[in-house]
Amino acid sequence: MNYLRFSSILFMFSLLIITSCNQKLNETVTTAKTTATSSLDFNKYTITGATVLAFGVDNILLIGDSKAAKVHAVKTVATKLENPVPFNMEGFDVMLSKKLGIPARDVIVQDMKIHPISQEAYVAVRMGHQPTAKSIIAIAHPATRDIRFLEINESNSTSTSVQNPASSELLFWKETPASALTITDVDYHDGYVYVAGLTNSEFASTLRKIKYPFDNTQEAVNSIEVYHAVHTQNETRAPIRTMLFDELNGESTLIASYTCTPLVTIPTAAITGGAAIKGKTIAELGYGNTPIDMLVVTTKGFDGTMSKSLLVTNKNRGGTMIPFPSVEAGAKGNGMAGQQAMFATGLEGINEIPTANVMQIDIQNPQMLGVVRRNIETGDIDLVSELTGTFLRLSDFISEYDFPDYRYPDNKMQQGTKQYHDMVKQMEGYPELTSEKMGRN
Amino acid sequence: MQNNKLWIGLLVCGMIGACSASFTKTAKAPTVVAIYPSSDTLPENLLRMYIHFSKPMKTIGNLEKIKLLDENGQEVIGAIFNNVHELWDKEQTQLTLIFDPSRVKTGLVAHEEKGRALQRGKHYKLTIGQMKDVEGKKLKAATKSFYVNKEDRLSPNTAQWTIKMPKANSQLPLIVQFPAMLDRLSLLQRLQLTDKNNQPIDGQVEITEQETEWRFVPTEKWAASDYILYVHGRLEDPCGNNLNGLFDHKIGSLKNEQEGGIETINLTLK
Repeated sequence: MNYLRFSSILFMFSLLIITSCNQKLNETVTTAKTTATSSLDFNKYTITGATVLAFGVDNILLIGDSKAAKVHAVKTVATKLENPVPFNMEGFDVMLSKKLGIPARDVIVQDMKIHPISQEAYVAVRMGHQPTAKSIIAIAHPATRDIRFLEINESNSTSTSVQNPASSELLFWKETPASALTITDVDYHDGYVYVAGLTNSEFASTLRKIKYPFDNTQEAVNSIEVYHAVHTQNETRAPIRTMLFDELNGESTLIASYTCTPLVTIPTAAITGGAAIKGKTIAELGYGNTPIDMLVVTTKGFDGTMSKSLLVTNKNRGGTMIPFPSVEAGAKGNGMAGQQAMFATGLEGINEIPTANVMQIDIQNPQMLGVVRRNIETGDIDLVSELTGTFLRLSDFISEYDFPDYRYPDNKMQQGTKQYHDMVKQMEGYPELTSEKMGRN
Repeated sequence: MQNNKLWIGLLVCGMIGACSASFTKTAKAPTVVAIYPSSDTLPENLLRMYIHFSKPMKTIGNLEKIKLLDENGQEVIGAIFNNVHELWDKEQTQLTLIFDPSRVKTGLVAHEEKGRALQRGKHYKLTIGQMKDVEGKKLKAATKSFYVNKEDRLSPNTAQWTIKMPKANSQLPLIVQFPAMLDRLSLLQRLQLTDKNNQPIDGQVEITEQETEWRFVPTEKWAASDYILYVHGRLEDPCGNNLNGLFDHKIGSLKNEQEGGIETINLTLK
């Protein structure tokens, strides 16, 4: 079953993509002026903190700043990159440390999002471990491998506080030194910025809905109860860890993954100021685990059919992939109920994908995902691309295929594998290892 | 001769000074200064703990270094929730630990299959080791030993609080006593004392008696007047139960559908 599934994935890439990758790799793409290392004026680029990133309307970059309890919206300048060009920036943390003039151990990658137009990776980096350490947004280009930094100033950005209390709570609005809010996710949807957070003192849902452009108003903090419909019919307050908006069964829906890993759906229309919201648990993604990122990916099958899946990367497990129709069926149903929860995870077709070292992931282009990962061989942080559908780097593995005297058998399946290997080797920066170059055709 | 002695004396003093200076430098390893809840008996549905450090710590990669050990010294795997973002305060001297909520809550797969990490009637040790401060110095390892009691399924209830009122014209503390421990940080944030016109009173708050007592010492003497103690509905105990209901509650059992109401306690000082 898995083999068939994998082989169908192999065929989804056309030779056209390979050609375009090659072309683009040799091309110089300039998007904006590169910042010279020596003259980097940190005052122009740094902010107090940057925990999470998201792209919003008109490709503004939303930056969740937990330290200042603010969300910044920064205009971005980008040149369209049409073709899919992979990231092959191994030792990305070392590259960054050189640019920033700090030791690599002081480069702390907090989030990464891919610009929808330029395919550049926007990486939130905390510079150092001190409480006063500031953050900077590094921008890496897949084709030129250049790293520049996002300038943040009054003319290109706006900010809003995420701790504006309701008037009745003003009395409690004081700075308690030991309390802190961690912004766990930021998302833009239909004129609003949604901010999810976790405080270090209360296990409550803090989902804020803030109108964008920011006008210093925000709707009251929503209280979200998560419905765990097992026999005791219990509910709990729960902070959202990662979230996204999509249409489920024709209805705009917030899909949220929680700190205790239930997957929950909430109709967007229900998220209004002050309303008590009931989230429906449609799946549990496993205990002892915390989700990192959530994406909706589309893969093209062998027969040309497109299939949509919900992909969740996890800190303590491989990634989770759920067919989108299953998510829709879950949202339509009554939520996890009865004894089912003891044995099943809630939805049909949940599969694990090999994303164990992935720290951050985002859709780069229709064929690829941009990935920040911990390289367990070198200990470095790599910024690389993986094919959507395989979710792996071929160059991570040494197999029989890699021996010079290996010959691909002359059958459709193995020839397809050969085609895939040749394409991925070029994509991952090993064009000299294709079958043709190795003289084994 | 006299001069020589003086020089030798100075040299020796200088060396001792240098040695003691460098000794002091290396000796300043970060330490754990407090762990809350401070009681050595904790409920089996404990949700949260705080660890306080003597110096600012690195804020990544620490949760793997904190272990819960059972009576046989075996690690209880998956007890502490390994969050993506560690929950530090701004000074990086206080870390919040969350016991995996999916095991604490009833009805979830993890709870049913693995049960709670903390079992009633047993002794445990929380060990904190190998963490580093921002300068890379290793933490002096620390342990908290505790006994686990039955689960806490009672919401904090202001009607059960005892308030000891100070005399007007004194600076004695106003003391609020709780029948069971409350969350230390939540107490610091969720109680607010004002005068009758809702103006906050300046003073020092202390959480004492193993988090069962809130003491307020005013900066200026108490007036013979009315005061108001506001209590936010999100005030929690260390199991996540708040004024509005239990962390793990049955449908429809919350006092208010919407969380975050505010209760008032009127006080008259004479």
